[in-house]
Amino acid sequence: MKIKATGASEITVTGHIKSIEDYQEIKFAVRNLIDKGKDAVSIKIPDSLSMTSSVIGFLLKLIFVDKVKISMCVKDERLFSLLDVLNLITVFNVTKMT
Amino acid sequence: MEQFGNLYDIAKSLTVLFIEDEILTRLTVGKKLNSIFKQVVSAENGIDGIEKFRQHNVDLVITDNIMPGMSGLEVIREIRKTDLSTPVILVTAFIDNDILIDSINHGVTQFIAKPVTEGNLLKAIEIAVQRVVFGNLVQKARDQELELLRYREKYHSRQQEWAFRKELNIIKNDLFLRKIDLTGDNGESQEWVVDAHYKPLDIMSGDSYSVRELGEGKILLFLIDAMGKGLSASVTSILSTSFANYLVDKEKERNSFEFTQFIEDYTTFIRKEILDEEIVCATFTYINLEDKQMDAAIFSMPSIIGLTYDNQIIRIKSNNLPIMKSGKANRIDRHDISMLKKILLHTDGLNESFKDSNSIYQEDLETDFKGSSFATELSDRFSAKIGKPDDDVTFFFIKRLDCHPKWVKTFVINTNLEEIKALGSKFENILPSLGMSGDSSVMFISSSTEMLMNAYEHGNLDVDLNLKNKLIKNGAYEEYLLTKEKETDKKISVTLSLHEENGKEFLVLTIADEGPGFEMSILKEPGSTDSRQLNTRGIKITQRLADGIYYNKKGNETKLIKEITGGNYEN
Repeated sequence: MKIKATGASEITVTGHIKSIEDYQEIKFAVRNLIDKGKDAVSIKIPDSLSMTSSVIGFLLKLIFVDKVKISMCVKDERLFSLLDVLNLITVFNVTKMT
Repeated sequence: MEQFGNLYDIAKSLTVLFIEDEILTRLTVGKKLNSIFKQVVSAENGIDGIEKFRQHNVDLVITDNIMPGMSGLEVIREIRKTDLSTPVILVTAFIDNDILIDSINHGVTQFIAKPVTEGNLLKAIEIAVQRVVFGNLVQKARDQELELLRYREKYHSRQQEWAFRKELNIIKNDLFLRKIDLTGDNGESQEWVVDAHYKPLDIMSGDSYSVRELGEGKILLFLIDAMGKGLSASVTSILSTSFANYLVDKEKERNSFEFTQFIEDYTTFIRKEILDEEIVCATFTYINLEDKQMDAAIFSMPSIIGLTYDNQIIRIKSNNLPIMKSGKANRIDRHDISMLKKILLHTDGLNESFKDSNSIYQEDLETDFKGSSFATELSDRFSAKIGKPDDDVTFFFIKRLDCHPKWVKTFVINTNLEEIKALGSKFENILPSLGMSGDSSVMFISSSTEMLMNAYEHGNLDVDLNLKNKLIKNGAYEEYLLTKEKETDKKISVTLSLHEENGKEFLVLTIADEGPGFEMSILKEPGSTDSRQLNTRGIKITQRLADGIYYNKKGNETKLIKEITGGNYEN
């Protein structure tokens, strides 16, 4: 998995989100944007078919506790379906990548 | 207007648009209108009139017909393009048949002959105002009806949601995400799993079921299919399940469960409650995995299907008529299941679903059951052929897990986050050599991450879900774990093994911790889908990624199973 800053408040995560290291890297990258004063973060996920529960927990904490606005753009139908089943589409402002 | 009673009061709340090109008429009639209406909007020609109609919330239009540029009739035509209900009074010196017909077709309410007299004006206004009042009443009634419908829909939707939660609360599954561990006669360990598949067509379903554990290797399974559709069938089905579970709970408390008496008590109860024309179909089985016996009372249900170790299908047919008000004695038969490695119990929604207009799934069921390693696979095969079934589909997929791996590797690690990360990396290196790659590998690694973290945090570090939620909220979770891990010397034992079944290879990851055990029932609670909850998603994610996930009874050992090739991913 790799993370690249693709905008002032946007990161793109390529590869699959599947390990503890992946969670730690995503956390670091998103925290970095928030520490720079961003109160809205957009995450593009063009490859991953899943997402670890630790990443989900971290993002939910940002939304509900730190009041950071998260939006997510995912390509893989299986990840979209997973987020839907977990009732997270609205909370994460998930859109499908075309 | 006084003689028109409360129409005067009503007119005082209305806005009239008066279109007249002659200044004198506009002023004199306008003055009279001002004394009648709340607001008079004057326009000096047709174009001005249309513009003002669009700008103001007009209740009534009074327009002269003969005007330069645009006639009153043309104004009305323009208004009617977007507004069909506002009453219009046409003022005209003369009227021929063509104008009359055109006016009526465009919904002119009244005509006033020129020169305008006060009497004619008031009469025309009276009728027009009545029409406004009527229109408003109709609109109000429509709005109220719409509001009522919205309320009803919301109410019914909430009722259904509550009813479904209630239904799920009544259905019991003591073996949810569980495996049954036994020791065979020769000291060999055996593991059995019971996967329940429940896809009701409606929220209130005619199908219901329960899985009850009555002792070591002793399980009671029942499927209820109340005949008929809708709420009536659902009430019978839920009543049956609720009472049957009550009987089981009582007998468990007394440690005196007796299958024959249980069947007798249940059928006596339900025969008393059902109507003359009602019938209940049901399968009740009491399985003793240690003794390798299955007692079955099958009331007009599809045959139980078993698969022997030498891949032969056996069928156990119904031994009772459906349960009816005027029923007879119940029959229970005992079956030897020592030769069975898989057993399927199901309602008719599975075998009688139409593949197309000429064939039903019955034709494929036994072959698909034979070839399916887990309930998810059978469900996928069924869905691929049936699409959307027209009945509730419920089945139990019981199987003995393979205990003879082709390859095994064991790891023991400390309760340490860095060691867990390192183990994950080891898996990534090992998987390609076992033939696992691509999506299948990603799913396996993701699932193993979730389960290893569960063993670490909920197992050996004994962090319960509430504490985890609180720590995440405070941003102190990882720091807490890193501090706690220094205080324990508990180990996490991990076994990675390769198995073969039906010509397919499976990777099995067994993770055992030394903690108090994970409580699976929390995942069945309604709040577990609350998007505000910061945790409790790891097992749900794993359920979607793996072919099977099973805990031992204590909850401190989990077995994760994933087919090596292909992606048995539930979308």
